Amino acid sequence: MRAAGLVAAALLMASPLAAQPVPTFSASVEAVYVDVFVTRDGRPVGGLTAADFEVRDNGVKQDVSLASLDEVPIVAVMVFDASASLAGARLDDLRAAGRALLSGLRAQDEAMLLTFSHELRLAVPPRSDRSAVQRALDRLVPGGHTALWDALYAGLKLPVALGRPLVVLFTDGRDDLSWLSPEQVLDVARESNALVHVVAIVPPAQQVLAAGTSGALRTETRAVEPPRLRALRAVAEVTGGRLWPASASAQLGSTFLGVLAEMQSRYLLSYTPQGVPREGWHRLAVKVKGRKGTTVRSRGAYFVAETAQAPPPAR
Amino acid sequence: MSPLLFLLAVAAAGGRPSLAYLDAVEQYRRGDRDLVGETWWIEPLDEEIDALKRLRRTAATCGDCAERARFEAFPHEAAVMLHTEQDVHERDQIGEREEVAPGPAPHLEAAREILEMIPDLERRRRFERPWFLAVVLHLHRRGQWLLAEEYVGEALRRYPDDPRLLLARGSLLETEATLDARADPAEAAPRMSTRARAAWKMAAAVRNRLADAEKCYRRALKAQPDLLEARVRIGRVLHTMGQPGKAAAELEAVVATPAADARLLYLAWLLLGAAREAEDRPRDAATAYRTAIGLQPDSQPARLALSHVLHRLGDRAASLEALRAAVASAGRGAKWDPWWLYLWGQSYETDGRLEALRDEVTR
Repeated sequence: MRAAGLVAAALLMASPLAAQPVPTFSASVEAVYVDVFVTRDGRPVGGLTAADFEVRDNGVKQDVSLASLDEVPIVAVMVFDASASLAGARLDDLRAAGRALLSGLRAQDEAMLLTFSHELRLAVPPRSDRSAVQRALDRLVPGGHTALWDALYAGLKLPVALGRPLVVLFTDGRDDLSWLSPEQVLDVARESNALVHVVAIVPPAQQVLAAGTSGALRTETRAVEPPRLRALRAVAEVTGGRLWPASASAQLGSTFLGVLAEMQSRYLLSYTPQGVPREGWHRLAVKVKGRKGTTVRSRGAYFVAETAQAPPPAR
Repeated sequence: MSPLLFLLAVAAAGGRPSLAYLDAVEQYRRGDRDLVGETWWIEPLDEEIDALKRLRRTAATCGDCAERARFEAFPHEAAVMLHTEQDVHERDQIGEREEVAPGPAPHLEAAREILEMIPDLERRRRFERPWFLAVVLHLHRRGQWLLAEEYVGEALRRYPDDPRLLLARGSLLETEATLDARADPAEAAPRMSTRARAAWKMAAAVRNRLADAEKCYRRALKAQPDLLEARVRIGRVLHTMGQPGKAAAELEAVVATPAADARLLYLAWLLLGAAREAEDRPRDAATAYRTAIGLQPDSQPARLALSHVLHRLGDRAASLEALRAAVASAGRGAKWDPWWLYLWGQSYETDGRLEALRDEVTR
């Protein structure tokens, strides 16, 4: 399950074994929910029905139904860098982008704000009152160093309210004080129900020299993705989300709205696992039947923990 | 000769330090720090230092002359500290930025030059060792790695077995290695063709720095066996170099020391937890993190570490509880957890060391 552009997925477990919340819309006590994004030529594909999808759980084909997105609130977890590097115009742009994201949420959705420098602060716990988040954004004072990976870990685990957790991480990718490593957070992301979108300020494209087929040198413009962003991209993609690069903070508003638009044009598939053991790792494969040229992005696996038992490493 | 007579005498002679400069040094010597941060007394700095050098040359060659008496009466240590405090003030004004580009340090250079002019060798040696250490810690705190390396290198050439200087140099190398390990080869080598080589060179530099840091810590311990911070840092360096078993042995030795202070014990337990995790002993790691929390109840890093290891153990409820406690601890307790300060070496001593030097020259 792989796609080049805009596709994403998240998974909601309605099982009593799951670590994360139990959605109230569940028709079954052990239903699995798979958040899916389908595109063709980079544009979202609408109008699909459950019959258009094929879902395999550990290779076993499942009988799926389609849940209405309106029934399931989004819990938007805004994980925002508030370190010293945010000072100045970047902070103003982030505030405006945060307001845009809040204004795009539906009435039934919730939002929470987790800010980080070297210290994590739950500025606003999940709530439907947007003004509290807005006020917290206005009060944000940047300063200190950066514990990005610690913050992302908290963003993945803290949302336990009912709904589809959508983690929107804003960062410049720098980290100098995290206790946790990118690899540790990636493992947690694999097990999380959250869908992670990373909005990152990236360096602008650079002019580089490249050799043509004749060996002659020519100048090419290449976007250089720093390794620190590659690790963030990996976390986003393993949850079915993506990395949204922004070369300037002025683009943040439109980028955040893009994240939300994608969230609202997804499909939420539901099934009760058949023919597979319920505990442990489940590999997921989702495809759209009979529609050539479509790309599907969804979570590649989910994990059902046995109480007080260490999970196997997810590789 | 009284300071006032000295000022008048020197000012009367042409080509000597300006009256404003000498007056500022004298004010500082008397304990007036208000002029730190002002600029009226240092314009132009080079000329004042050159004038002092000329005075020294004259004093050295004139025998038992008045110039010599004037030079020897000059409060060198106070001048050193005035310039040092000016540098501290100017860098403090830059604020708590994450990254500050390396830059010149004219006041520290002036301080170092004046330090060399202290007429009596014993007097100079008494003052320069703590001065170098304070300056290195100050530069480390401000992220001026290259300058800090230069100053600690100079200090160690003079005092090669000083345990505090060795600890400071090791900490500097460890910090640089840690930050380099997180750096981006693309920034060092924008061209794709050279990036792999840049990445390899950066990795080699990180390994070398860590190995050098370990050597510094071991030499510091040899010179001062009860310098526990050096052993804590050996533990972390070994863990970073992929030797968790050896790291744990060093850290176990620290936590078994009855005289260890709470900050070091906390760091040792925290790092021991990390080493135990790397040894695939998550239950022992959880115990270590809990002990660290016992020592620093509002520690966010230790609670996060505990949350993660409990997650790894499959105890999701306890993991979430630990995470919530970590987030709830924000803003409580000390502003800076010892782990957050770890990469800044012994910077926590900077203010105390500067104050001690100031007290010495102004009493």
